[in-house]
Amino acid sequence: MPNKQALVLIISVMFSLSFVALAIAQETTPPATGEGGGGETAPTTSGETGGETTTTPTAGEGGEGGGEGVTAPAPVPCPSPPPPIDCGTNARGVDDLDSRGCIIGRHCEPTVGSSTGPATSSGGGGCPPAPPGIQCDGRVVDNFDSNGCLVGRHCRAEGETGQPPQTRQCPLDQTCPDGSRPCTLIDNRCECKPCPPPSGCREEKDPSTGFVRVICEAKPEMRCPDTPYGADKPCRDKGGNPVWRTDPRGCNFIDCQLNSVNNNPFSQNRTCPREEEIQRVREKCTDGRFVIMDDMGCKVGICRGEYQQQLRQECRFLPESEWERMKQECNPKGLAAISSYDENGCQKIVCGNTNECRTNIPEEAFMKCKEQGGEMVVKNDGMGCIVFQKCVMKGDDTDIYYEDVTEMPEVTEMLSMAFKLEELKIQFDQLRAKTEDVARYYESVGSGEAERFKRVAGMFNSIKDKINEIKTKFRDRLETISREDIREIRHDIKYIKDKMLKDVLYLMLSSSDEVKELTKKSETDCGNDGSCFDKALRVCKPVTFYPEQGKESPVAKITGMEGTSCVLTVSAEAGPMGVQSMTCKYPNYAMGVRGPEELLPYCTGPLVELMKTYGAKPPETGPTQPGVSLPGPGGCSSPWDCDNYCSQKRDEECTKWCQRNPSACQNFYKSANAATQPQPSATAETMPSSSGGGGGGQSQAACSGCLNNGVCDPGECAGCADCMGGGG
Amino acid sequence: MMKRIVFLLLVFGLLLTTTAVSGCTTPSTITNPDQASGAITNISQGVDDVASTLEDISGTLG
Repeated sequence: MPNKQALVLIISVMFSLSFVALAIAQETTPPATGEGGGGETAPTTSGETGGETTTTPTAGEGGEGGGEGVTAPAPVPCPSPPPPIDCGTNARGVDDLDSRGCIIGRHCEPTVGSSTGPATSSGGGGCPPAPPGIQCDGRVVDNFDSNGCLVGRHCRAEGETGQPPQTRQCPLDQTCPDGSRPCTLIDNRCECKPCPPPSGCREEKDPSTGFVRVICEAKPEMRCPDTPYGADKPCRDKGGNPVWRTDPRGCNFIDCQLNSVNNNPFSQNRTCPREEEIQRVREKCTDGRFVIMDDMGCKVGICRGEYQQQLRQECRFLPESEWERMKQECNPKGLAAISSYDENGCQKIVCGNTNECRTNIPEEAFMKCKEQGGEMVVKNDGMGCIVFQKCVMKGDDTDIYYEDVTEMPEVTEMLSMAFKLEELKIQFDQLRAKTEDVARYYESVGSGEAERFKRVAGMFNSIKDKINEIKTKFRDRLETISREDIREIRHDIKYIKDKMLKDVLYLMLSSSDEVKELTKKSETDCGNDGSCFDKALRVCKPVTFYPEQGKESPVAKITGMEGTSCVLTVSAEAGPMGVQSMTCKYPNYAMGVRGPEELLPYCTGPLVELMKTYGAKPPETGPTQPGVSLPGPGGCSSPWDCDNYCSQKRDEECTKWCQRNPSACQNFYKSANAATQPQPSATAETMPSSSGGGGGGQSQAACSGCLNNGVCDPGECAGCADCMGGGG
Repeated sequence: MMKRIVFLLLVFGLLLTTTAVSGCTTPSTITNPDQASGAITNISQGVDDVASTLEDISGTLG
C-alpha cells in the first residue's frame, strides 16, 4: 500500500511538472501563426507593366491578411497575363483580376474627364486638360497618372510593353532560366542579369539577411545651411552655452542651451531646470525658435536658430488615415492603394495593382537618400521583384522636442487612441517575438548578426512598455488628463516614431561601421561624456564610462545583451569598504536612463544598497533618511535638497547642520575635501567614493555612508540609523 | 525509505532538467537563411505598419 501511494505521488508530481514545463515552453516560444498586422502579402509575379509599379505590401492592404508566422509564404505564380490592349486616346486599359489578384483579362474604360474630348478641360473628374496628340513611327501610347488621368503620350516601338520609355521594363511573361524575371531593358535587350545600380553606386548583398544595400560613393552635392562665422556669439551674449549638433546629413548647427543640466546619469545631483527657468529661455529667445528638448530625462529650453532647420526633407512614415483615403480613391477605379516611392526615395501611396512587379528604383532616389545621410536598402523576391525598399538612417534626436499643446483632445478621441495603443502594444510584442526568433536563428548558426537582432528585440520590448504606459495614462485619466500629460505623450509618440523606429530599421538593415561594431562586440571609451554613454546605452553598445573626472571615478561598463536586457556593471571605490560593484540587467535601455533610481531596481550587488542610500535622488516628497533633522538650512525639506544647498552655500548654519547630520552631507563634505585638497574632479558627486564622506580633518572624515542593514558597519557614518540606534 | 527518497529526488531532478531545457532554450522556428531573410522583410514591413498608426495618433494629438 505505501508503495502504491508513492507511485501515485510520483505520477502526480510528474504530471504537474510536465504542465509547468509546457507552460514555460509556450511562454517563451514566439507565436508562429495568427499574428495580425504583419502586413505581409506575398507578391505575385505577373501584372500590368504600366504606370506606378511596385509589389511592396502595404499597411492598408496586407493588414487584414496578417496571420502569418516569421516566414513569408512562397509566392504563388499567376498565369501569364493576356497581352495589353490599346484603348485609344479617350480610354484606358483596366485589368480584370481574379481573387488572387492575377490578371485574367483586360477591358477599356473611358478616361475620367475624357467625355469632353482631349482638348477640353477635365470637367468634373478633376483631371488636367488632356495633352495634345503626338506623331511617331510606332504606336502612340497614353501615360496615365495614379488618378487615372491622361497626363502624357509617348511612342512605343513594336514589341515593347506599355511602359513609358524612361522606365521601360521587360515583358512580364519573359523569364530567365532560373525562373527570375529579366531586368529592365539594357540597350534594348532584356538581359538575365541583375539591374545595374545607379552610376557611382555599388551593390552589396548581405548573405545573412538577403537585403541588398546600395552604397553610393559619389558624394551628392551637399546643401548644408551656412553656419556663419560668429554664429555662436548671440548665444554667448545671452549667457547661454552654444552646443554644436550634427544632423543625419552631417550638417552642423548650433543649439543655444540656456538651461544648464548635469547629464551624468549616475549622479545624485541631476538638477533639472525648473519650469520658470525654461520660461525665461522662451523670453530670451527672440531671434530663434524656442523648443523644449529632453536632455537625458531633463527638459531644457533651447533657442534654435532658423537657419539650421532649412532644407530638412526627411522621409516620414505615412499615416494610416492616408492609406484609408487612398483606398477610397483607388478602389472605385478597380485598383488598390499600394506603396510606391517618389523621386526622393520616400514612400508614397498610389493606385495600382497589388501584383505589379517593379524591378528598378529611380536613380535620383539613391542620391537623395545619400544626401539625407541615409542608406538605400532593397529586398527582391525570388522573381526579381522589389518587395521592400527603404532609405534607412539613424533617428534624428536633435529633432525630437516638446511642443506646446494648444488644443486638448476630446474624450472620445482619447478613448479611440487608447484602443489603438492597445493594438499597437500587441503588434510590438509580436515584432519582438519575431525578432527574437531571428536572433536565436543567427545565434544557432554562430553568426554575429544575432547581436543586431537581440538589440532590436529589446527595443521593441521597450517600445511596448512605453506604449502600455501611455495607454494606461489615457485610460485612467480620461477626464482629468492635463496639458502637461498630453505634451509628454506627444513627445513620447514622436520619440518612438521618429527616433526609435528609425533606429530599429537602421540597426536591422544598415551596413554602416557603427552597426558592424555592434556585431563585433568591440568596446568604445566614452570617457566622462554622459551623452556618449546615453547614446550607447540606447543601443546597448559596449562602452566604458567614467561618470566623474579623475582617477577615482566610478566605472560603468556596458557589456552587451542578455535576452532582451542590456547588461552593465558599475564599480566604485566606497571608502573603507573598498571597491564595490553591481550588475544591472536593464530592460528599458532603449529609452535611456534618467537617473540611478530607474536603473537600481534591475541591479544586484553590494553597490546597490550604497547607491540607494547615496547615489539615487530621493523622491521630492519621499521618505527622509532616518535621523536627519528637517527642515534644514534655508528651509530645505529633504536630505538631498539640504546637501545640495549646503554644498553650494557652505555657511555656518550648514556646517553646524552637517555636523549634526553627517549622513545627509556627502556632497558638502566632498566639496570641502575638494576645496582643501585640489582634485581634478569638479563634479559634486555623492556616490560613495574614497573621498566620499570624508571631510578634511573633520570628525566625520572616516564615514562613507549608511548601509541600513541593522549593523553599524566600519565606515558607516555616526548619523546613520544603524549607528545611532547603537547597532553593531 | 531512503531508496524511495533518492528515487523521488532523481525524478524531480530529471523533470527540472527537462523544464529548463524546454523553457530556456527554445529553438528558433527559422531553419535556413531564406526563412530568416523573409522574417526580416516581414519585420521591416511591420515597422512601417506600426509607424503608420503612430503617425495617426500623433496627428490626432495635434
